[in-house]
Amino acid sequence: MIRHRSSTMSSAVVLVSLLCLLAISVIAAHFPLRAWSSGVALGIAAIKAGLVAWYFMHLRDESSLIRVFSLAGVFCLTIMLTLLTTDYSDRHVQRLEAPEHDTPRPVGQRQ
Amino acid sequence: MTNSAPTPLAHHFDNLDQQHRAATAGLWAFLATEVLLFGGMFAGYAVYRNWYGETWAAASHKLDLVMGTVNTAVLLVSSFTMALSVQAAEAGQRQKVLRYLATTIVLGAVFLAIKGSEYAHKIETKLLPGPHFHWDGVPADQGPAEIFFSYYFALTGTHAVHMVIGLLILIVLWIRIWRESRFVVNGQSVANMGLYWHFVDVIWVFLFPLLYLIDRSH
Repeated sequence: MIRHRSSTMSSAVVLVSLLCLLAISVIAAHFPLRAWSSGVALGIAAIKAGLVAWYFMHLRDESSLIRVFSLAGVFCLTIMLTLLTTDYSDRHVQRLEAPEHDTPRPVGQRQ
Repeated sequence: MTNSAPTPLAHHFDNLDQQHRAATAGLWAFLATEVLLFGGMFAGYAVYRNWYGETWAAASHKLDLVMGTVNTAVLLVSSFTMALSVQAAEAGQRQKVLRYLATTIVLGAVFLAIKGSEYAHKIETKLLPGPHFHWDGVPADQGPAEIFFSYYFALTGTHAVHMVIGLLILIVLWIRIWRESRFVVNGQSVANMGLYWHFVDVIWVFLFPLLYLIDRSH
């Protein structure tokens, strides 16, 4: 059985970092970042996922082969999302409702 | 009690190190298929959110941000205790493995309980997609709002199923270690379970902003 380089203290530091990133993502969501809000939220999520994978899932101690295995799903997903984005961005697709049904409303009418 | 007896070596492996690497690679290959399972739903989510951004933001505000945040914290802490279980298993510390696994099980159950109460509230307020669905926003937005809640239930439901499966395996693992006083702490079983549990945590790390944090500045 392989022993990984980890201690209770190092795992606790990772946990505290994850909880801080969670707090930052919730606070950032309340700032009017407009088009950047999704990017910021997903960027923070990616950092959190990276911390979990690198430390808790021990990728830092694994061989290159295992690291390649860990990226296989993400690689295929990236191809799928790229093709999907190019497909939907350059052709007209009939939506469920007419576009005017999704027009912006005054803030007071929300909820 | 500590027990540092080695993991039994299967006949088709040369040594424990080779067996460990094969098991870890296999587990990661399985997780790659899981990425694609959730990836399909993420792709559909991306298209509909692009189409119905305004309605989806308003629908997202119907989700309880406090409960979502608490649940995320609970899951992150459970990942921490799972990591400690793996450390203890590698060191052959049976009692610590039992303690940390039990804590992980309790935290997983707390996550599901909070998620269950969220579901109950959504069903009570007629936000469950179906014939009784009712959105109190602009009437014309019923369709897009219903799609949002369809994705909410599909994504969180699929995640919850993974949580339940993980909890059941954790409970079986815990009972096996607890019942056998001379149990050889199988570090590989605990390590594989850890990889699965952390993966489920990572999926939630992405689900939380995608569902709960859409355009909260309004």
